[in-house]
Amino acid sequence: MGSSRAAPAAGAPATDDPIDAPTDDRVDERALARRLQARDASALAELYRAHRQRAFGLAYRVLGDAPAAEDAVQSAFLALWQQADRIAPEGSLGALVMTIAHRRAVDLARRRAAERVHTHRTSAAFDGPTADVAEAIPDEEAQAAFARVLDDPEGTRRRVAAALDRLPVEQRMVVELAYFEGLTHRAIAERLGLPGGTVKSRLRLGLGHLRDALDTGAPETGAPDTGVTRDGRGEEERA
Amino acid sequence: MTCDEIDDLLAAYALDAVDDDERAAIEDHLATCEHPERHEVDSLRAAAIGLATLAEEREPSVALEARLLASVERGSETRPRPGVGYIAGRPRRDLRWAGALVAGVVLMVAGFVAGALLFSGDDGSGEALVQVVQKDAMRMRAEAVAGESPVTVTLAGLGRLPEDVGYQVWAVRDDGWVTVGICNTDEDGWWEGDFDFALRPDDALAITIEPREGSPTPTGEVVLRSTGWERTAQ
Repeated sequence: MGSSRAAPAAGAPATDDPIDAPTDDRVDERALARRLQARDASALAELYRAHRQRAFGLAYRVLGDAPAAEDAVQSAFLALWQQADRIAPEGSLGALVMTIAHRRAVDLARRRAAERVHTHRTSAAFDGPTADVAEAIPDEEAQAAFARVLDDPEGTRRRVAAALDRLPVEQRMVVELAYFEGLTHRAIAERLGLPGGTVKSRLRLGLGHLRDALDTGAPETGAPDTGVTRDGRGEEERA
Repeated sequence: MTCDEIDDLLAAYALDAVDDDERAAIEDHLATCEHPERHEVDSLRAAAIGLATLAEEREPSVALEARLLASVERGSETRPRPGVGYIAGRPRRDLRWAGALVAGVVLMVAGFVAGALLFSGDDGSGEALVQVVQKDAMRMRAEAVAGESPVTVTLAGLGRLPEDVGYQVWAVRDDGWVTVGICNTDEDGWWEGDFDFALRPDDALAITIEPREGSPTPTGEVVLRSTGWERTAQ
């Protein structure tokens, strides 16, 4: 190998990407949902361009490599297309995209882990649950909370980061293992050597704190008790 | 599963931390109830989406949109076929549509490198070219129009190199290896950018580790190398 210092690396990252319509553009999601339901493929392209970076970033965070993350993202958008008739037009399409993209990424991560002995990339990226669009649609009361979370992603990110910092480390750890590594509560218990009830309790407490921080809607009267109060105190963890 | 057991799993469900059986049981339950579990789950899921904002936004490859739309066009035939590269090609007009019909899915075979040039046309000139080379977690995707600059290259899973070296991309030709460009990945092993180089339809690609200013001929370790082009008629 030579030894002289180099000029800056050739081939600077592309900056003139013709598909790069601004991703922050406010799209009329209600009209977009209706166009999807009318089988307008250009609506899917618009939806993809608006949310691709966020969805791909999340899938990449879960899966750790770009090809698999692209498979998950493609699978998520295809699920939206194939199940467009189940989309609630008044809902947040962005939240729906993120929910399904995460689920597909997690499914792929688990499938890949199970098939790690094989050398090929999984060909099952499109084999995820077929009903995830309907299940991912929140009720009307929660629509505003979903939209609020993504309407101001920077503000949400700051609040979530601050809330995570405030969490007891044991709660933060299980929440991150679940969401960003795609582990089930059982897999987390196994990895950390904890009783299953403890992991479920920590997940409940940790996510409850994040909900409070984001004000995405505490349970109303009669709702199951997550063990988290508005002042951030949690119940004693169950063994 | 009892109601108490379901309640106990709602946070795990909102985080996608349940297994398939639990997910099905919870969703069956949610489908038959209104309040309070539904609202509880929705509020927890909104919090989970908040977690998603912590993931750094990333740009997927240009070809992903093309693959997605091609899958839609193909209708039910959306499943990638292992070990096969395929394309319904046409000269591309711009990057956005370069792969609009370039539904290339190239999978690793036999644990080493599989590569494919995906194009159509008789002479290859002016045709959309996509090549994907993968070895273990390392992957290179190259897109170009035959005979035209630039070549858009995406690297993933290649560890960031020290400052004095880089990944040099080569066009492998019968009469020797020709430099396409040199780059280095970020801390996540990712790089994407354009090289001012005109690929030929019969070029294979390879990557070696070279001094950062580049080498006239390959001297370092061959990190990735395609096994050759594959032309698949539509």
